[in-house]
Amino acid sequence: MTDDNGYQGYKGLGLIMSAGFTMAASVLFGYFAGSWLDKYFGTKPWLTLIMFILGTAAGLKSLYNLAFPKKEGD
Amino acid sequence: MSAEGGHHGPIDPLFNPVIPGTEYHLPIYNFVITSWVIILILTITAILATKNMKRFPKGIQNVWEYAVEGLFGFYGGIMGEERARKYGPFLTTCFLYILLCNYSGLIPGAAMIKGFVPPTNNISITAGMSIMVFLSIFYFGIRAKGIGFFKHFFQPMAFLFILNVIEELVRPVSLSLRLYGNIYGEEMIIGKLAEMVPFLVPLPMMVLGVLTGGIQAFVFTLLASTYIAGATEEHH
Repeated sequence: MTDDNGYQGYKGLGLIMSAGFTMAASVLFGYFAGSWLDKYFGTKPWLTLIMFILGTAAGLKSLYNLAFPKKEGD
Repeated sequence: MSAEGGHHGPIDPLFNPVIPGTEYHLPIYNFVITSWVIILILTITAILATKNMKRFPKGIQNVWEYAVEGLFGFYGGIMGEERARKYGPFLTTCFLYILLCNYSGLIPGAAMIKGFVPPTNNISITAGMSIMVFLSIFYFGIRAKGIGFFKHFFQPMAFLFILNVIEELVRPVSLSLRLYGNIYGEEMIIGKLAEMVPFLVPLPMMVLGVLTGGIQAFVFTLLASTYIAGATEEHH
């Protein structure tokens, strides 16, 4: 990755603007996937709870990945 | 931005032909036609720009060279020059298509056409775009790394597998909802403002619309490029 081509500022701006929605979408995805699975298996409310927590964790993880992308050669 | 921009609820399709040999209809909505026109414009101008390429570009070739060079430079900063050349065409097409879709609502007189909305104001179009990105992550990843592409689901630790899968599945959801939500919201506000006070009042929102349209096209491709960069990076 080259840091001196003048596009880094824009990249940072774009990532900041996308961060909020990424988090929200992960949590919502977890919740809805969980409640769908609960309906499918009839295990209300356990899968909703588990998927909700997993969705939140996945959201945090994807924010981490956006902030610290893996560099070449790692 | 069209006064109809905030139009929601069922819109009747413009054409509703029957698929030959079946009893099913194939509804063609206004936004689909807008999207076809945008595709045609992009294709025709791209063909015209590359037909007689000159050493010192003029006119339409100049515009395209400026756009392509700028965008490739940007992707180069994310994934490196070499990969930007490889995956740039896909990402640049996405960017230009979304940008023109977002701005199509700003065409003067667009409000006169009943039911006219920018294509990105419809979840089907944005969902289609993000499914393309989702599939391309797998396609480019498998082509670059073979079966080793699936290793990243178990990294950095194997028990994170389920989180990695959710993270991967959320990507198209967040991509499509982000683009759709921003454009829909902005169109809605302008539509409602234009209904109440048609003169001058919607103008600040429309200026904001120019900004949102550009930023959302940019954010969509930026995220797509970081995803593709992550999927294709080589481990030495």
